Amino acid sequence: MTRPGVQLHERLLAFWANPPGWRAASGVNHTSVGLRYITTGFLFFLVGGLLAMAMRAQLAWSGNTDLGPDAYNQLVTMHGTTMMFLFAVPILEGLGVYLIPKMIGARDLPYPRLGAFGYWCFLLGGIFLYASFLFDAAPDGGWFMYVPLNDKQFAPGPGADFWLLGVTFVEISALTAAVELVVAILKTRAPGMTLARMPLFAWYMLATAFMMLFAFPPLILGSVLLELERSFGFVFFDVTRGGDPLLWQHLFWIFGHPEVYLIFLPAAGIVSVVVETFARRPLVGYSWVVAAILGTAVLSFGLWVHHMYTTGIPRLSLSFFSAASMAVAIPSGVQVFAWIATLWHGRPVLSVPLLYVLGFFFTFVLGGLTGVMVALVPFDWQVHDSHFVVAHLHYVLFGGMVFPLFAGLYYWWPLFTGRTPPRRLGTVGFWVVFAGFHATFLPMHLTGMLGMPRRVYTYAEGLGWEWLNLVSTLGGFLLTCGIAVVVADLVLHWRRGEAHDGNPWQAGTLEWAMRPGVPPYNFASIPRVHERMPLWQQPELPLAIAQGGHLLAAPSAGRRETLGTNAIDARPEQVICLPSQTWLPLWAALTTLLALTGVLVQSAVLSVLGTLLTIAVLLGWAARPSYAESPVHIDAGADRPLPNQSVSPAAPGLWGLRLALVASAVAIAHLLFAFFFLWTVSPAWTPLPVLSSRGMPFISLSLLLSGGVLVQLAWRGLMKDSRAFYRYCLGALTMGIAFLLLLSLWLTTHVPPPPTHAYASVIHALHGFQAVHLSAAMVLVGFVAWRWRRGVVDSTHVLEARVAVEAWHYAVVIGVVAHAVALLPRLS
Amino acid sequence: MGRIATPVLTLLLTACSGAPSMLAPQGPQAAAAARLWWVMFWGGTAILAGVMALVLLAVFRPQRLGVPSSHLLITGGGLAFPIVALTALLLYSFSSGEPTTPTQSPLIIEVTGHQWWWDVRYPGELPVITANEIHLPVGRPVQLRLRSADVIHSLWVPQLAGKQDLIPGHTKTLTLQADASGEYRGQCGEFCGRHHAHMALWVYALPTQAFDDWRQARATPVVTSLAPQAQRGRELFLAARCAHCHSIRGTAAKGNAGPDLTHVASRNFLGAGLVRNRPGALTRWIAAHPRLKTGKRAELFDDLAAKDIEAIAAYLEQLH
Repeated sequence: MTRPGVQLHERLLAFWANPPGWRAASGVNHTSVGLRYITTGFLFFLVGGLLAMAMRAQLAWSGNTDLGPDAYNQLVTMHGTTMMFLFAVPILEGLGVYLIPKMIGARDLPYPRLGAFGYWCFLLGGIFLYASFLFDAAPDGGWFMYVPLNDKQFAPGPGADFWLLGVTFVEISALTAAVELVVAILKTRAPGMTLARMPLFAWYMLATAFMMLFAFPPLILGSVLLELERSFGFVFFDVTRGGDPLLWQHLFWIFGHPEVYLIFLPAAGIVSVVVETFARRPLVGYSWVVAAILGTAVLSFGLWVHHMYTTGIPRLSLSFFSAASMAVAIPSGVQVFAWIATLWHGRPVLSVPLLYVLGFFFTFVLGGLTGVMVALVPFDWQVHDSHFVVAHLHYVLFGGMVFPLFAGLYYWWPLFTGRTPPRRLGTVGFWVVFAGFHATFLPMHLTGMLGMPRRVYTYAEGLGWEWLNLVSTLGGFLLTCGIAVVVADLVLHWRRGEAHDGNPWQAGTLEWAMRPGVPPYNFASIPRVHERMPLWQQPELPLAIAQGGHLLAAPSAGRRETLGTNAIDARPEQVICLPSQTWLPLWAALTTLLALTGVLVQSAVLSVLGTLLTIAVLLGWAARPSYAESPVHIDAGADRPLPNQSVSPAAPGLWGLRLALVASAVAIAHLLFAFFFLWTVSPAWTPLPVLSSRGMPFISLSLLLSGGVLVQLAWRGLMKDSRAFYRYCLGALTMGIAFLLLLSLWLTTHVPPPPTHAYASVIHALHGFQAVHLSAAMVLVGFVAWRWRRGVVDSTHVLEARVAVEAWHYAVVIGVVAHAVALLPRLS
Repeated sequence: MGRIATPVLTLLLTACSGAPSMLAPQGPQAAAAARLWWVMFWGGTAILAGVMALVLLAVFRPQRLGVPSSHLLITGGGLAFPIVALTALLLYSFSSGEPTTPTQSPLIIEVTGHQWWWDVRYPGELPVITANEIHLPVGRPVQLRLRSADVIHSLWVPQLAGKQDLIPGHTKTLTLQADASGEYRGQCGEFCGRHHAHMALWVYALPTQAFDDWRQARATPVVTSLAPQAQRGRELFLAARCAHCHSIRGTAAKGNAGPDLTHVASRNFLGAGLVRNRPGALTRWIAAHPRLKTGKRAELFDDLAAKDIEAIAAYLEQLH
């Protein structure tokens, strides 16, 4: 390393490094947050695996009752919940959080504090879920939480509440990671890295992040509705009062099927990276693969009903979903053959990561074939909810996600640790994992076809299931040994391996262009990119980056910054100032935990206190924007000075808000779906009553719309630097308060209480959602008005005002929709 | 190769006799699913072998081997082949497994799922109420009307047909047809809580005459003179909590939270497949069933004296 490189490194380190010791936990840098996600996710993987071993031990013999039904049902529920919500999704988010900025040439993610907050929500949510064991109240109703089995009547204990609240808490992290990754990939790529030059892994993560924004809201909505039903007597699923248990299944699987693909896609991204590096050539058929990724992402939302073939849905609709389920095999086929073609056209070098990719091919293709089988209605009627499906889903998820994940861990382990991995123990580990996996799950196909249902804690002798189960159990223990070998191998290399020079695999993507040891700022200067595999074309690039030969190489002011570029062709357009370490995200997660605990123990005081504290922490957070001390324009070494984000119309904050609103709109769309579904399908739905109102909805609608107009006038005032801004804000807030008061008056006096009927519950829920949105927008507008008085918001620094105004307008739209639904019966 | 291998494999796979296997179908719907399976099994095996051969050759290929065009691989293998194969398979599946259309006046059986047992009723002129077993005539399609009294269950008799969920508030139908007389085991397929593992049922397919005789016999209550112990058992049954949950037609016991016991002694199993109904089994079952079946929700019968339980069992054993 040359002298200027070292100096630059030390200057950057001074304000990028985490504080020492335990205070490092306040670090919000994506490298720290990503590693936290990955290690926590992996620990949950080990715990979930132990639960599975207890289940396999139980099923080793017929008639075994070492575990009672209650304990076994808790294990089944928590195994699925852990693997899906606490391992698969978070660890892949973590990989994205860690790798994406490094692969696209950014210094950090655009919202480091939000990223840290998401992680804390994940960790605390996971602890919250597992805390249920301490109270002997672990959820035991299945990871899919079907009703009525999990409603108050059949699950009176707090187990289901632990699940609903805990999972919703964890899913905050999915939404924050999704927003963050979309904006990072679209807005912070290195200059010159056009969409067509993006590493495929970034395409995969982009599709995944978008899928999260559309898939998690139905789950969160469903969980909220079920918790409202359990704790507050609302009706959505109780068939005697106009609800329908099938509504839950629709909401759950509208989430649940895309979930499978949003686990698979990042894993396929890892496969693409490993194939490219070890085939020593860029992937063949790049645009085919990008099309396949987008096709998978879209199609995966059209197949959820194939989890519901046995519910008695008409055969014609089943045929549609059957065809769609098969169609999704086609983009998978395109990807598999693109990888094969790349291997054919390259010069493959066998390594442990590639070995895992070969294991992935076998396992995933087999799982894909059984997937085609269960997509066929007559066959699925037989094997649905049998051990055949247990086998199939593990082939797809373990084959499609864990094998690639292990390939990725071995591949990026040198990056994480700075050590070169030797391969002998890794090879042994692979073969034990591979053998153990197939010994466990291959026989299970047959177990299912011989009539053994899933989720049974024991089985009678003489049904022909004994030897198959014994083989599966032995295979399971072998698999556990294999995973122990992998863990031992990785830990040994981390402690004992030899240091490498920065690019031990001779890879072509930017994450290997960093100084060895992963500096917290990633790149001393942001490289210009001219091709898909920059390091293969420009081997001298790492040195030039380290010496400050590229953009943003002058850290004179001691501020964390990264470059903002435009979405399509990555031209520099702004400098994004980034925050340093802070405990605020942890505090926000802890106060959220307090609010959720309040719901769990049915304490309104705790809930309200937790909510208020969370709002206070978030406002404290918003009052410390990262650009506070930054000059308006910054010389980044581009052809012109670049604005910082507070004055840029393309600010990440604005993008983040819009993506969050997309997620909210998806949730509300599903609430409307719930309404129309119950209306048309529920067997006990009564004709919609016309809600008497004495014109109240019309008055409230006018208040709502005038509030929107006042906010728009305030925005105009701000543009003219007029004091009218402040007055219009106050006017809008007054309208908002009047609206909320009138709304609650109407709901309490003219709408039947929620427990009476599903229709009343829908109306209350819909108006509750709009009230929450409007209240949030009111807090934001009030906050911006206060910031304006302090002189921080003005006609130049418009970002915060723009966010508040857009949030308010969105709340108005939601309010109009809610009113329209309430007034609907008048029209018919 | 398939011609020889399929029967051999079938034999191997179903060698474990007694398995309620979908690969040993005894009804038209199950037979169609099994046929579909074998087509997919051989097709899938061939595809897996082909793909893996391509993968392994790509990585470990000998120098002299040529390289296939990548365009051909992606569009041929990844696009054209799946489209053709999947379309063919889909059309084939549409033509198979269609439930048999019931005859003009199908035999209707009402099955209601409970946590954790099956209520089985034959409405019509000779009404029969029983539990955890379905008797049907061989060779005739039977329409099951499926309901649930509590949570979602699923009726699955692999040798006869695929499963159909029983959903509260809904009435679903499933057509069963057995092509050979025999006993076919089924089990609840949808996770239904604590004792989901213990919710089996048996389908008995009888020749038409035997079925008619069976129905005739089960439609009427048992009338028999009871020995003193059994007589005392009958009184206890009616006086103790038994009658709150159970019905015995021809008596004052009209409970409907548990299975109808009018002909309980004629059943092969007690507790939805949990215990074989051997002599003496009823005594043990009566003492234990609140724990083994109804779980936390039921009151225990610990206050009943052993000799009272024996008396009740003696009575029930007369109910053939």
